Amino acid sequence: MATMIPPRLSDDTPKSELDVFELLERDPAAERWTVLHSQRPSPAYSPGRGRGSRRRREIDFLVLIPDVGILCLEVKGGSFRVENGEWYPGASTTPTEPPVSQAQTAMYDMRNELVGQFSQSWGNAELPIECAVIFTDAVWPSNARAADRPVVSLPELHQQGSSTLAERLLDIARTARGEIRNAAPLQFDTTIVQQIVEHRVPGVILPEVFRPVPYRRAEGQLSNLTAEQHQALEITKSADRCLFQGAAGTGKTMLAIEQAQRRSQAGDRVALICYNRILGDWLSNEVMTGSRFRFGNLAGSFWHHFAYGIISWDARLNAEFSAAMDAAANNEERYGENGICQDFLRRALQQSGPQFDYLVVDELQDMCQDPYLDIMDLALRGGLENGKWAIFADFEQQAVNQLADDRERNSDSDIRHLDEYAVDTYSQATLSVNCRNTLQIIQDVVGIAGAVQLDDYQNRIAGPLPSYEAWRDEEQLRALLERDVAGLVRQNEQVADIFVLGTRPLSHSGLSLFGYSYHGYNLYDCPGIYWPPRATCDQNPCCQVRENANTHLKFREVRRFKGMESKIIILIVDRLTLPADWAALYVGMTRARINLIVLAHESAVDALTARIGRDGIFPVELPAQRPAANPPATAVDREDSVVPAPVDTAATNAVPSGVVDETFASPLLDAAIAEPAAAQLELTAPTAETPGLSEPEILASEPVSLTPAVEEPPLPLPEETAAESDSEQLDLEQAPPETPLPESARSLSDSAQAEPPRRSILRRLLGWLR
Amino acid sequence: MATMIPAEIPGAPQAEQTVFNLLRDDPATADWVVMHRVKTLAADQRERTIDFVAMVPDSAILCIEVRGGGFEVKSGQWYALSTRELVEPPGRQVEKAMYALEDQLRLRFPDWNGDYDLRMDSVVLFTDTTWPAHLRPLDYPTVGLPDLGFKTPQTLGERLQDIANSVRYDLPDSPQLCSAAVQDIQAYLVAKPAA
Repeated sequence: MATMIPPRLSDDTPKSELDVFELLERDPAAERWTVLHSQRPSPAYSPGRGRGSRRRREIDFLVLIPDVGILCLEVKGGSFRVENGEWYPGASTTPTEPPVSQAQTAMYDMRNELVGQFSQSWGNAELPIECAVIFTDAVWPSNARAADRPVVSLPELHQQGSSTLAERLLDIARTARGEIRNAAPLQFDTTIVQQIVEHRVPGVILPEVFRPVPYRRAEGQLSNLTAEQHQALEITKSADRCLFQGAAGTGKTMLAIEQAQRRSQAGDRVALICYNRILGDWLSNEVMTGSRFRFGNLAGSFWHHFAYGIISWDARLNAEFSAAMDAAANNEERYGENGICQDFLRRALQQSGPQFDYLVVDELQDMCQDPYLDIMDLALRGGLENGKWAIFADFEQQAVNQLADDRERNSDSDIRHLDEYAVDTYSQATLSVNCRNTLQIIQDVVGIAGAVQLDDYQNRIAGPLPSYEAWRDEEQLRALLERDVAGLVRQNEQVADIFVLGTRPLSHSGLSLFGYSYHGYNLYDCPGIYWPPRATCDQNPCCQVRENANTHLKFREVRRFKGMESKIIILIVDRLTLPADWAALYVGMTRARINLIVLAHESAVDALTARIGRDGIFPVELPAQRPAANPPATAVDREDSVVPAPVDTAATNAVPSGVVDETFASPLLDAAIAEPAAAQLELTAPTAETPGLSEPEILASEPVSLTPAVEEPPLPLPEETAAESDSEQLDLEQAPPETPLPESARSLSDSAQAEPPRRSILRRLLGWLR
Repeated sequence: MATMIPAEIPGAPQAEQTVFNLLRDDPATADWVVMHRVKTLAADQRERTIDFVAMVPDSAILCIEVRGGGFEVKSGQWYALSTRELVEPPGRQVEKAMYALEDQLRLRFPDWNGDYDLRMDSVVLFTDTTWPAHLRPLDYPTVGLPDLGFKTPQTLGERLQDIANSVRYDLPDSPQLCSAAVQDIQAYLVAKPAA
């Protein structure tokens, strides 16, 4: 049976072509054939043909017969008549191009394309190619002049019964081969068949994946290279070695990819490397659309895969390396700065010599130390001093929390390492135009980074203000995340566009992989955007998650997300005590293109507010102290913000429809859920006789004004929610009585004891609306 | 700054909305008339929709198919990356629709004589992806929005203008798409009932 590509034809394929497809597909005589449907020769190889001829130039079936040759089939259904040498289909009065002429033109164009494409490997050998016309419903018109190319009439073939369609076509193809006068016909073996198929049809050997480009998608304005970035690329034309420094969001990674691709296209053998895996995976997919590390003329990956790739060149060394890695006690011994991986990488390069003509390094600040620079020096022809490279780094971001002197010293220190390898032999340029974040995000980041001036950014994109929320314990954190995810989904944001980042790993973040979901989405610790390689996609659950990005909420530790970005970032900050914490905060905030939500532990609230320099960025002030065992409902409640999705759903289903449908359809209520403080103010304003009340005063007075809620009939809650509420109530009762609570917290706490807290929230909301 | 018909496209998919905004706001599209979702009836009696018909004065008519999201291609069959559903290979449909539109216009404007007086081409526009360099190009002019300003310092309007001009280059002797013709076509397409 023939291999049919594609395996099925679309519904709007003409019936005549469907008939031929079916005949070839099931004909045993077509075994080992490959049949490509609807192939159009590239106009690039057929100069002089305008669009008018392109309209007709299509081969219905390109038949590849191993050890024989190629047949280009033109299929014609229905009847034809010939008058005065002109061909007319059916009853049409408009003449059409004679079928044989169509087939012949298309065949020549296809021959030109294939010979042009493969001339290097085929040499001067003549390609055995022929065309034929198949009439599925008619015979050759008696008044037409004899065809100068083979013609097959299916009705005649069927009447004769002597051969199948495939047998007839095989005869035609063999005859054509016999006509080749060239002394050296091409040996049309299966390798050549495969070459042609791979050239003509994408995704035959391995699926081709066209991934959305993450950093330039949809937002339009953010997508274009800035003038500064164009200038940077111009610099690399005249400078063999160039160090580009720039803050987060200035497009270093984009430029690194662009430069790697340009040099690769110019014929250089290029290595594009960075330190961390998630960025490395992304780079390799961007530049190679496939394997993670490939030694064609462009290789890209993260450091340790770069090492694996190079070590694997030498089978003996590779075996030794595998044994050493297996025997190693821990990852530090394997991957540390002077670990086994580094050692074998150095040995492999010492044996093989420099392998790359051009080196592109992204995020050099992560590995601007001797062990790594040594390797780069060995891998690059001419070394770092005389070779060609473009290096991108942000030395500032590593020192974000230090005093100016310290920062300067630290920054110099890193560059000095590079100077030891390439003293005064490289150019430097600074990237300062932000092309990633909105102006509002940048303004807050500038507060964090301190030394960076807003003017440096010249940003032109406006977006929503970053949102800040405080949490005290893990339960509150989960409730906030639940609420934020629900809010984003309500705003029609795609979960695939959301990344939850933590300044610490998931296990220390207060979140958990198991037992919790956020608005129905399970949290997933995403090890890499394109991990594992796609060859194992179907078997590996990690990869299934990636492919179903809209069904899971992705989490990643900030330091492992460097160089990456996402439209929406929810950043979990659990402390801000060490310089590294501030650096992580800076990196995390700058990963957001449009929306940034920061969930900060209460201990970080003051420091964060002071740095950002905007008062009241945290909408609700938390009470100073609270018993550890208390449930989140006692806080001034962060909103009872704790209106998590399950309660939404349950309440919507349970409350009498006449009230709730309207209530829950109300944008005001949505606003109340999403922006509690603002909604409260808006709601109180029409009836309040206290227009001058400040927000905290209104909040404090809420429980009093909501007393009618007690008279409401109790709202039935689903079993789970009720149980949860009960446990919260129990916790309240067990709270140490001697711990003082702030006034506002106490009053809410009292009300929470009177009834399950979430039920009280619903009452309050309903009360407000009335 | 093209004239967009209709002026707004609420409810359109995000990819089309993106293209709509880019064409509307691009200074390079001054004097263009861009129509969203033009329906045609082809010879096979199938109704097809062209995402955008861009009339580029003094140049050509471009029929644009917009493809958003990612794709996976297995053995020449295209699947949407997000849903895993089989989708039409890009370009074929818009080309068929373009020929149908061309036939309708010829019928409506018989004064346009000659085979190639009406310069048209079909374009596939990927809003979220680029065409991998190692693959043979599509049979149609292709634009990857992420490439614009990245691999080539052009706006979408400038890129489409180049494509429209290359149609003219293919057919050097054919008359231009003068502004009067643009107005005629615009009036016809706006007035004609959905096919």
